[in-house]
Amino acid sequence: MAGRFCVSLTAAKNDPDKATVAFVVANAAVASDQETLVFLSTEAVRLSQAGYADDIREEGFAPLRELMENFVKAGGKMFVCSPCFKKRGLSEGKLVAGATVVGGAKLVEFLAGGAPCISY
Amino acid sequence: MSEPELSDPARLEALRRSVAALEGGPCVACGRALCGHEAVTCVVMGLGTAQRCLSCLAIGLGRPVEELRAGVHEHVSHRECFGRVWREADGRERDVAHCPWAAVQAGRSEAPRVLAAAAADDDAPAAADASWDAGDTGCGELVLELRRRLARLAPGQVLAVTATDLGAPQDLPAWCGLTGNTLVTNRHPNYLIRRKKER
Repeated sequence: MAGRFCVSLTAAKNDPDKATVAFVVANAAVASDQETLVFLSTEAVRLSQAGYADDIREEGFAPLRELMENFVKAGGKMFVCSPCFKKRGLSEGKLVAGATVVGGAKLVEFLAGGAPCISY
Repeated sequence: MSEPELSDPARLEALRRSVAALEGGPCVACGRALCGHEAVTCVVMGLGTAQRCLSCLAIGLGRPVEELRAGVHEHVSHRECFGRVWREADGRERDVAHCPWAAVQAGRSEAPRVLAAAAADDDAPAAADASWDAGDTGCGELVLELRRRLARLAPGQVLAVTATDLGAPQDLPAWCGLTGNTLVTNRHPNYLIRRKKER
């Protein structure tokens, strides 16, 4: 029976290495038939904006934008922390596909029944 | 508030046009269609195109709906112009359940409650025992305060919440599911939540 898997990410262009690896692991989880969530908070919420990740490419990995798109196409979902989103003045109209603005209760709902969570 | 005199038919006609423009239109907060009396209320209060039903108006003003309902009726009763259009609205009301004033006039015995909107294909509207305007409070602060306010109600009672936070449409259903409380209506930014019947 498929389980749940959460990747919590707090970095974006301030640490593109972490941002990239988080989505590589997320893709591994979704490819392993896990119901996979990437939770974006603090700086990572910037990744939710269309175009932001376009120039992030770490050596040895696919471009981050491609990793994110593939993740969503494979059934992964991204939750974007609402207070962090508002604090940075981001735009709901520029959300990338698969990203939903949520608060803590939605994250708790995903994790509360028991789900591993890896943080970057 | 300026009031057209009955001796000035042109101003009375302008008042009638203002009411007609709002009657049957959607409340900007919840989408419920305004009855004739609610349309008069919006004109009396100078709401312009920000029309609201009685329930949402009460929530926005932080006043009990029954107090607002009675206050509006008292106000228009003593003013010939507004009283005229109010009585004209009496004649147009067909659905007692839809109009907060007609319901009272018909002697309905339910406890005073806030009538809230339901979706077009829902059953009869739910009722609320208390209300809270959470503004743009979100995430943990939203649900922690919600928990505290809901705990003040008796089991089975309903809290009307207005929450404009972007995450609220996801969080409030999730929170209700996790805690066993019932999300009666979910029409962002307006929600009705019933406290669960046992702890």
